Amino acid sequence: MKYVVHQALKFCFFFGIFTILFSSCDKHTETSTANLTLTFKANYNGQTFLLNKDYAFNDTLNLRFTQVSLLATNIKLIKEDNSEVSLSEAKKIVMNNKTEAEATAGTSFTFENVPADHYKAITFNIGVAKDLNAKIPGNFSSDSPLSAEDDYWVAWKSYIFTKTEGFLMKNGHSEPQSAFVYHTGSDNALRPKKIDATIHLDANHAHTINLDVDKILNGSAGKIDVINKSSSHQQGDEPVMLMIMDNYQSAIK
Amino acid sequence: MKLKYWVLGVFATVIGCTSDPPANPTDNGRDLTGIAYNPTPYAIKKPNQIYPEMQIPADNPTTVEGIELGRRLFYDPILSSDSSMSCSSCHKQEFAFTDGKATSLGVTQMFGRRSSMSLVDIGYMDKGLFWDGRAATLEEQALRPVEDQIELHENWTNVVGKLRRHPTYPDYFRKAFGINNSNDISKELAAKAMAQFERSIVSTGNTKYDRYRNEDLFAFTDDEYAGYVLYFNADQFKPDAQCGHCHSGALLTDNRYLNNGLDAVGSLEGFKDKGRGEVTKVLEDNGKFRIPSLRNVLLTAPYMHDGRFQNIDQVIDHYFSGGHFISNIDPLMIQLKGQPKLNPEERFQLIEFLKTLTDTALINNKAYSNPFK
Repeated sequence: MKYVVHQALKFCFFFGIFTILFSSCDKHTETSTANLTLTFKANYNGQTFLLNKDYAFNDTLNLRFTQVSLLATNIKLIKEDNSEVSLSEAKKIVMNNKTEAEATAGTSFTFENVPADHYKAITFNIGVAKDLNAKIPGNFSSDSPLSAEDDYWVAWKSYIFTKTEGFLMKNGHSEPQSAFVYHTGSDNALRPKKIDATIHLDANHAHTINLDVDKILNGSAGKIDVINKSSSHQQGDEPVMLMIMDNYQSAIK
Repeated sequence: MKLKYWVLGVFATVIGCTSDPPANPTDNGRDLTGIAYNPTPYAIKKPNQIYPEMQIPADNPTTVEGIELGRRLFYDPILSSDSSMSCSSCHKQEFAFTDGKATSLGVTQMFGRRSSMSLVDIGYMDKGLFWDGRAATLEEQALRPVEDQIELHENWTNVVGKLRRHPTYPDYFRKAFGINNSNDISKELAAKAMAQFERSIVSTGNTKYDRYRNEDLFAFTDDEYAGYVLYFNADQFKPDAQCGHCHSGALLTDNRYLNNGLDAVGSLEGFKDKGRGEVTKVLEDNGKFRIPSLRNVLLTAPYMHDGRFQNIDQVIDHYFSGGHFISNIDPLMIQLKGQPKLNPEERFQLIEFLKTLTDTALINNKAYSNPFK
């Protein structure tokens, strides 16, 4: 009888220990991570931005955008103690604003199992840093944005960091006066971006990053001469390319 | 007497194979378990370092036996309603697996509305197949031409019946997929085998263009290099032929869908062939087609989705014309319209560069040829 009681007590003791251990593990797992959704939304000087819609460039000409996209790399969260949490090596951000609904929804990425903590900023590169830029799409698996051939420019030996394309439309005309095709790339064009944001990641959280498309061609670095310099595809186009990158950097908030 | 019936039975089976009756549902099939099933994995070789890794679906790994079966099916007219045509009728190795025609002729002597696309490196095309991207995978794509009325004009029930009754195909299916009975042959397995064969058709990675991209700086002649510069806009003091914006990278396509201004239409609804828009039902996609690879481009005339251009000169003329404007035309077309045309020397150089994309070893590779010859 004494033996049975002893064995029962022993069982209860170990069962209790196991219960405490497992329940504390569960609790730890539940509270240690959360999902963060980053949504990139494009606006035009504070108004809804739509592709294929005309926006005044001057008194007689309108800009009609057909593509706005960028490569964001080395995406990180910065903690209050300045330590960093990496979210992603690279994301292709395509502003697919064909309709009001798409413009409202924006382009979202959800990062799962991010350590729960208090963060003060989001940082990323607009473009691809030198070490990654020395690689080619063939070096990446097909699920990486860096495997996409349409974002690599052979002649530059560089990824294309941003694409801004569209038409210059004359008032009252159905056909364009000209087109603009600004592609940016090369190591010099890389622009780091830091966005201050209070993110208490105790539970799943969503944060929106805004891109003012108006500022891409008329931003902090100046107004792009869309009439006389309507493309950037070559190393010789570096001055306009760098202006556009500076504009992107300040257009994102 | 028994022997007589047996001979008659065999004769009837042979006749059955040639007259292609549908499968008999009461047929118990042929037991195949006596045939060894021991498939040999086949790794698709990356042609060179600029190529990506090919993504192979987990449910259809490539094997030597699967590719062999797929190759036979690809070249066998058993897939057509009158046993007159096979996949290879429109995808001929000597034309880099196109057919040299504007649009292809089907078994009913009707021409299709679109040109046959090259199958070279098709396993790397991951943004949809056909000109409009209506098939997401090669396995899905391989099912379509059989039942297309202006292609092989057959139905899969008949084809599967023919394959089940065939004297040798059940053995090939057993070796490739481990089926136990000839009645286990299905259209899905046939499509898997053909997909495996198609994935195996990869460039050698040894064209002059490949050699240059892989740091052989002496791969090109002077004219070829000058053409390369025009193609990729590599020199600010030379004209931009704008080819390399879309026909780029290892595959010489970025696999997007674009409207390159071929048709003059009053609105986006006006395209006779809506292309990508037929699939997505998005108005903005009307008139867009998949950007084809320019590998072996000088073997793949006529050009465009409907084969309207007979030669490369006509293609160059079209691009420098800027095409017909409609709201979803690619802006690069409008830029080309405003640019100076290539002079005769530059045009010659551009074509010399395009010739460096021809993969002679591939079109002579016996592994891709007709196994019945």
